[in-house]
Amino acid sequence: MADTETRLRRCFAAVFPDLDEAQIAEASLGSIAAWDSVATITLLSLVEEEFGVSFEPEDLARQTSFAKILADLEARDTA
Amino acid sequence: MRLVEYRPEHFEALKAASPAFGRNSALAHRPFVDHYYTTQDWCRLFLLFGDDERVEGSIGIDRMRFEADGRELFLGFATNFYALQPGAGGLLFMQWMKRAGAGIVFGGSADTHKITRARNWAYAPEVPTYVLNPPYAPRPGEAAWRRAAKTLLRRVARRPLPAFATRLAAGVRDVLAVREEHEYVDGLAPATSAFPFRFAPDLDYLRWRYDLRLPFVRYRLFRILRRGAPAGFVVINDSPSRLIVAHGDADDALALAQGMLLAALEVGAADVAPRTVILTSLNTAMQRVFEGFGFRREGARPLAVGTLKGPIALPADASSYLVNLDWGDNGLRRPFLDEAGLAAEGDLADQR
Repeated sequence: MADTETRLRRCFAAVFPDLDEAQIAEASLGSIAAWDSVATITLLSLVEEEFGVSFEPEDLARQTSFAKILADLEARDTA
Repeated sequence: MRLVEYRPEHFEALKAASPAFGRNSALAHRPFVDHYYTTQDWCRLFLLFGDDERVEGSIGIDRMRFEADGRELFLGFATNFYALQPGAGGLLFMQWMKRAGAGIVFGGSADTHKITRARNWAYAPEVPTYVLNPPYAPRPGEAAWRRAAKTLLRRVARRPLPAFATRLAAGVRDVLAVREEHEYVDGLAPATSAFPFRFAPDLDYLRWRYDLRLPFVRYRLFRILRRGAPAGFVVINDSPSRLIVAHGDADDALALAQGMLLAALEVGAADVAPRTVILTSLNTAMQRVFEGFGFRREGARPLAVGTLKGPIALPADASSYLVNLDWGDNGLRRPFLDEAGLAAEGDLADQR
């Protein structure tokens, strides 16, 4: 099975198909024109489905960039 | 960013952000915020703080009890849903869905409906707003001739509410009456409602949402009596230039419509100046009563229900839904009654 980062990249690529690999790694809310509210919901729902996780309401506001979501997922892996 | 549940110590930060939420935002008024978002577990406000500790968004989540074909259904009604940064509205929407499980929108911004349509929510037909004695309020940027025409209409086309009393259908007062009550008590709501889909709160919720003793809004409660026996109730939001039929329910749709008219006439019985009356209705029998009385249809509000994953099924015949205007805080806009020096009441355009 692909590692966490690769799977997360696939989620971002599905929601933001115009981003290249480097742009995905730097992607954050506010830095990408296509990252609107609908994209936020689509992305986080896709991540929850792909990784079989559920973001707690109080954790949602942290999920605002590729790096932060990856860190959250990796922290779950090691927990 | 961080999301926090509102507490009174957040008020100054909230107030500082509120101009960006709109000139009539109720979030700038502490009595409103503290009453509706800190006194009951079923209604809370969540604030999105940016890294600079400024409020960048908000969402109130009001857990409301509905009945659909006799089934109990709890839906989160979003209030004061604002996001100042692109994309942040999605975080607030997910907060809403994760805390409430399912939601309802009645009214709402274009941005909200962009989200709910993308999540494939179920939409009922739009709910018409009915207005008696329209305010003919001038709007920014309006042509001079139109403003002049509205000034004329305000003088000649509006009448004090007592002048409408003769428009009640013949025989209504022989059967129906309203009596003002000063407490929410058992037996107020009808044992059986005429409506297959309706907002059906318990007494504790009514006492809180339509509190009869708030300093910033005056709600008045009327029991509808049919030949002296209880048939339902009506809550009116009573302010100097307008009445809003906030909520009501009855065992019969026509009795409720006539009861709403009787209650409005009762509130305005001593009026010498015209007041606007505003209500909403999806029920076709009630709509005919309002139109026959002289109400004019002005605009309509979307009504949608769903979850994070999709729609919720509602009873098929939307024409018999009971949809009153003042769900959530739909009827509450600044300036409030306790705001001295602010002459004009909340923008009626926001109410439609």
